[in-house]
Amino acid sequence: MTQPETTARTKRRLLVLDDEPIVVKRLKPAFQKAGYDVEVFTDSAAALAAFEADPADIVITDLKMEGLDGIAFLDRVKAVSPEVGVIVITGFATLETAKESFHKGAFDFVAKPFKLADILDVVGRLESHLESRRHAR
Amino acid sequence: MPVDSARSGAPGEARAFFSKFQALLEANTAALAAMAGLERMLGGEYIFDRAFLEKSAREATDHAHQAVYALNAMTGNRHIDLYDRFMALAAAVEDILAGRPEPGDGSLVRSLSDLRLEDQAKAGRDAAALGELAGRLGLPVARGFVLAAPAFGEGGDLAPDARAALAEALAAPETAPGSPSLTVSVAALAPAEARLALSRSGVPAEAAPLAAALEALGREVAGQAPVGARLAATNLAAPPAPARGRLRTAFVGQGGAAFLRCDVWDEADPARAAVILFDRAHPFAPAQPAPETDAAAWAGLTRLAARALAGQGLAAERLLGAAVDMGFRLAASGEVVFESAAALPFVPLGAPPGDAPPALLCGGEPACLGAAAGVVVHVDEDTPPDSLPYGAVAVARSASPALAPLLRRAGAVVAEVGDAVGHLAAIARECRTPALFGLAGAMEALPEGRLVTVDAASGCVLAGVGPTRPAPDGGLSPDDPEYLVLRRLLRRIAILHLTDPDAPDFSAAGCRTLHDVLHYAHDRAVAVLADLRQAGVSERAATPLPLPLPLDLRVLDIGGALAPRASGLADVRSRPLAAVLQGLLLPGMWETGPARVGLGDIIGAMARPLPDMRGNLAIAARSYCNLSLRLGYHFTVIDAYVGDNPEKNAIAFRFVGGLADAAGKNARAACVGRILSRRGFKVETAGELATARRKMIEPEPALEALRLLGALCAFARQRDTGLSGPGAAEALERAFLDAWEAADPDGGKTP
Repeated sequence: MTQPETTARTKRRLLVLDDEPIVVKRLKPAFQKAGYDVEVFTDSAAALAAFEADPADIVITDLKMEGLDGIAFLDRVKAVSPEVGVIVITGFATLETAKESFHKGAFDFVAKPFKLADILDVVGRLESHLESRRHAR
Repeated sequence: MPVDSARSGAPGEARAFFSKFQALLEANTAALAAMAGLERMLGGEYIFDRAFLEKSAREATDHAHQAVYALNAMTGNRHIDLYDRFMALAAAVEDILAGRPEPGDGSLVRSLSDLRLEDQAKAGRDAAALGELAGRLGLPVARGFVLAAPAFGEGGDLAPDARAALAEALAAPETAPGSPSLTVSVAALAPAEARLALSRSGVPAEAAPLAAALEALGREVAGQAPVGARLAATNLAAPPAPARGRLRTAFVGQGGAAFLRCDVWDEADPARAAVILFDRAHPFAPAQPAPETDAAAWAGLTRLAARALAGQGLAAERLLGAAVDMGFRLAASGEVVFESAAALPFVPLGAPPGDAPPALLCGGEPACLGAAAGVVVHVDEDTPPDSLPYGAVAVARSASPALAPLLRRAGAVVAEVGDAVGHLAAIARECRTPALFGLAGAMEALPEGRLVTVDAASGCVLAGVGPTRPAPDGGLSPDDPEYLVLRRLLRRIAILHLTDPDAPDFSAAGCRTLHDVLHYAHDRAVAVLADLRQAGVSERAATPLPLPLPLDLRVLDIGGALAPRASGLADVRSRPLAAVLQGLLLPGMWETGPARVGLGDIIGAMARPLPDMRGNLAIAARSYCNLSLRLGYHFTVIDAYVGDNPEKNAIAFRFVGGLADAAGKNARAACVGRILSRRGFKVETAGELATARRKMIEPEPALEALRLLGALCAFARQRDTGLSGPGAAEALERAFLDAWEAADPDGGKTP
């Protein structure tokens, strides 16, 4: 399980968006325990407003939602903050949706149901990726 | 094509008939995979959503539909009653998904021990919790019954038929409290804004005074509850007890440390009371400065019983996913009976003092999330469940299903061999016992008596006492609506009730779940094939398979089972059939000498007709076989599916009969059962019958298990005669295991 270093710097900020409350309810304590500063939303408009006001480092978003769907949300957060790392989670995974997600700049695509340990690993990898990109600049 | 056409039809028609059977098999395995996927969600390891529940439940339903359709296509619609039963169950599944009550939910009376958490909407949360503790953990809970929500009308009055239901409940064996007086309570159910319940003790266990007491309480509760609140009543046996007590699993003491707190008081003199604080880790040392306290000895609560109580409290906490407040009666004998259980609001528990404990061993696969601390006890299939202290960490070589009874008492379970898809893993998820399987070297690294913490989420066992809490971070809480929906779905879909084809309720009407429907459809389809065999149809389509044993085996190839012009074992392409035959042919398994037959055996055999001595038949496809063997007087059926997806793999075994007298046959069946239970099978024995099942297995262990079954069939032939007592049966078991280890290239170490 990934345990990010949090002592020498501020915690990574994570935004989780899924219109099913059970998903955000369970992800929040798991990521908090892993050392992240977590905000969760079940409504994409509210999530976007929060992100526009104060962008998170990492976004985990569902794909199929009422209103602004996951791909549109991905577009919008990338427009606000091109550096943000985005992970797409979905229960309706197809090759096309995966391709589209990657094309729009998603770091990874995870099909539901998934193991808690797996999503923590994906976020850990994304964090390493963001770090190495920062050092490269 | 129905069965009559197949009887008279040409080989092409017979092929079409068998293709229906294959369609049924495919539907069966796909449905089992969907059920396995649902069941795994219980362990808290996976993040899932409602869409997943809907998709999986409907997949299982659709596949069950296909199986019923295939059976009827095979039989000229002789199983329309099964279709009707399926439709009722499919409707119940849709009701659950839509959040509606299921048909039959209107029953007014429910036995307390039958209640589960998912029944809280009609029985009340605390009653459902008590039922869960009794039924799932086997804790001593007072006998009683619940009068469910439909029994109460507006204003708390009893509905007209509730009085008759009460009278029936007091008399019916499964609900009668067996006590002259009752403790009754009436509670307002969700969505009441506040917990509201009123109780009364000493109510006579007779219909009229009970109804009067319930109605009085009902009116009082309704008067205080929000408008429209529904009510339910719990009625518990209240035998006299000199002392009563209260156990709270998360009591935060001075300095912020968390303890278990047990209060005991004299029923006649409440001022005579004792308080004991325990560590929240097995062996539950008393935390007060008082010496190994005998504070409650006057009440008959021995030190050992108090520690068992602490372990039971933590088991309840894990099961309910929250700290609990449990009320109990204490008989003069020291026997504890729980009479209330309520989940407490979240209590932040401080970490144990000192540095975080180091990991002793890591790398296990979590089968159920959670963390528990306790002393290591090594266990195996012979460990009597009562000998395992409540809360101890059970460490085993293998995650054998025979360990299942221990999981009700263990704080956590660790096994060197095993994975998250086996039967023991499913039991761990049912009991919410933290479980870590496939942890190589556990027996050596975790010696008996060492205090450890099993942290399933990290896959590690830590030295000493680490942090434990009622529910894991990110885990699934029993309060989550999705958890309750999942449990309701599993109850309608995945539980298998029909296990004995000879039982009177093995019928379409007896199917209570979709799994029952699938099992029944499969069994009936196999029976139809057996009928065809009697009519000679299948033999005409079947291929004789020469083997170096007098088996007279024919193989009905329903898709990829045999190479063209098969002439021996090397031409068998069916993976499960080939494995069974390899076992049958292992050197040393097939006894060629005459059986030792005693007079009792001969007399016993005279009462039975001679068995059908026609040849044996295997119905097989590339990944499936159904093998019926008649070897002398014993009959064996092996039904197996082995493909690449472990969640679809399943093996069923049935062994019955023999030539010997009843004692010999029974001893042999028990011996067969013991051998298989030690090899990962879930076994049931009754007299001369032994049945065994394994499911959700990786392909290689599945094939090895089938080789073992083949070897056992050959070895057990004629071995019932001369078995005269447990010693002889044990000797037979040892002889088989010696022969297996000598003959099997893998040394008999697997599965």
